[in-house]
Amino acid sequence: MPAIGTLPPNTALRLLDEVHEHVIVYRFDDPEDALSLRVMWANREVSPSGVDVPSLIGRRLVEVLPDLAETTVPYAYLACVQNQERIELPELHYQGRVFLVTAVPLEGSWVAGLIRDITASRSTEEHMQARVTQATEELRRTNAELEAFASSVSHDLRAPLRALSGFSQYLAETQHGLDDEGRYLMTRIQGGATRMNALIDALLRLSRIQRHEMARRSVDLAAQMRELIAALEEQEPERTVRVDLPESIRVEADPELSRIVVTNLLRNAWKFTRGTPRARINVTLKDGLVRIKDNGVGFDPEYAEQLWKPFARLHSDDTFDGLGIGLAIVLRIVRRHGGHIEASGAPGRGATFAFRLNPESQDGANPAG
Amino acid sequence: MARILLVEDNEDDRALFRMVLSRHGVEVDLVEARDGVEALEILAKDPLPALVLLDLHMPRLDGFAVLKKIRADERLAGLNVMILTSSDENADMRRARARGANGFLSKPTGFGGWDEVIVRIARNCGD
Repeated sequence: MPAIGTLPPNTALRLLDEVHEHVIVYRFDDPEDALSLRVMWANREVSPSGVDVPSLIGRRLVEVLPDLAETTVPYAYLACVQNQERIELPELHYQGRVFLVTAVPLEGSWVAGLIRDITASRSTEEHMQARVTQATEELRRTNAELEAFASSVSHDLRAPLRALSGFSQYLAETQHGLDDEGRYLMTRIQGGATRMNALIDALLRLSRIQRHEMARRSVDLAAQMRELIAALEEQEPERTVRVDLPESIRVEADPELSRIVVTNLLRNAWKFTRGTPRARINVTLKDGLVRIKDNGVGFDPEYAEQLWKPFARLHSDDTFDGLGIGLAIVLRIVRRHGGHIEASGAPGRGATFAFRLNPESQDGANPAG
Repeated sequence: MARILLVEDNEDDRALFRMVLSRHGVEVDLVEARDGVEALEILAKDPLPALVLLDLHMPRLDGFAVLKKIRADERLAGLNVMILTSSDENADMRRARARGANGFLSKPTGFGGWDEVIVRIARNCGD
């Protein structure tokens, strides 16, 4: 592309001196011989490799820098002249520095080299790479520590629990001088121990999600949902819940983790429609967004943030059972997939959970939520 | 009477085992070791137990090391070894299985869990 506009006389060459690139103009003595490359002109940019460029003027390049004859540089210039086309050379490592060289054909056997020293940015890149490697290693170590922690939680916290529940059970059953109230209190102690055990289980499940090695595959979420609904219907045959599902919901996801997501969301819908006369669960798919809508008790949107926190619950124990861990697990899984999830609802008017397991950009131009 | 070697560092757990066995009327010759070192000392002498109940995480010599030594010793290699686990230690279970555990017994926390333990212990002492 030709330059545009007008310059004052004699400024073009001066401008070249201000450019942070070496510009060196060569001429081939013999347009068939790569090593006959002679330096004819150079701009003022001082060579960082310590080469005194002005002293090169008028001399053959390979005489002053003989090791360049071993590189592809002279041959690239020759090809540039012969084909009259611009050539970007591969990165040139020379005297401990890194250069990007572009050969530009001028007239006849004349050729210009535009040489950029990228040593500094390259070392920044290497530095960044080292940082990434270090961060990855730290992450790996943290995960290993987390695993050790989970294992120790599971082992060390459960031992006293076993003692608590085991001995109190023994005490209650053998009636060591316990009256009715004493036995009732023992039952409460055991209930506490059982619940604490369930909480430890839940905590471990949560930590396991983070440690799980993700492997994306094509998964049909609708098929996973149908299996779960069948199991729920078998567990509670007395309940009638109308469930509408799309034929198929194909996503790229980790099948084990996606099953945990649909299980938790559908179980919630199933659970919280327990008192609803004509219970309905409606699942739809639009633009990669899966929407699970129920007509159950719903929730107060003011406390919606609480939904996602581990062990935070919006309903009391005696209304709906649960540990408050399900949605915290769901959120982690969705995040690990680079996806998105949101909840909407109103008290007495049902809840809707909408999620995607892919980053939005992959799902087309019309992302909801 | 079948001999069972219980290798368990937690005193409460050992007491629970004793209690549950006696409550269920299971008559066994229960020998107890508090860690892997004691277990190997006991196993060095006859008679060998019909069943070894082995905890994994113990001071001094842990369950993995004990299991490895048992399988490497011609005299002990054929022992029936069941690993005692607190649930949720999948990595541990894989490791123990690779080292030749015969089975796993989850230490129960809740109600009723002990019944199954007793049934399985009785079955593994198989007369």
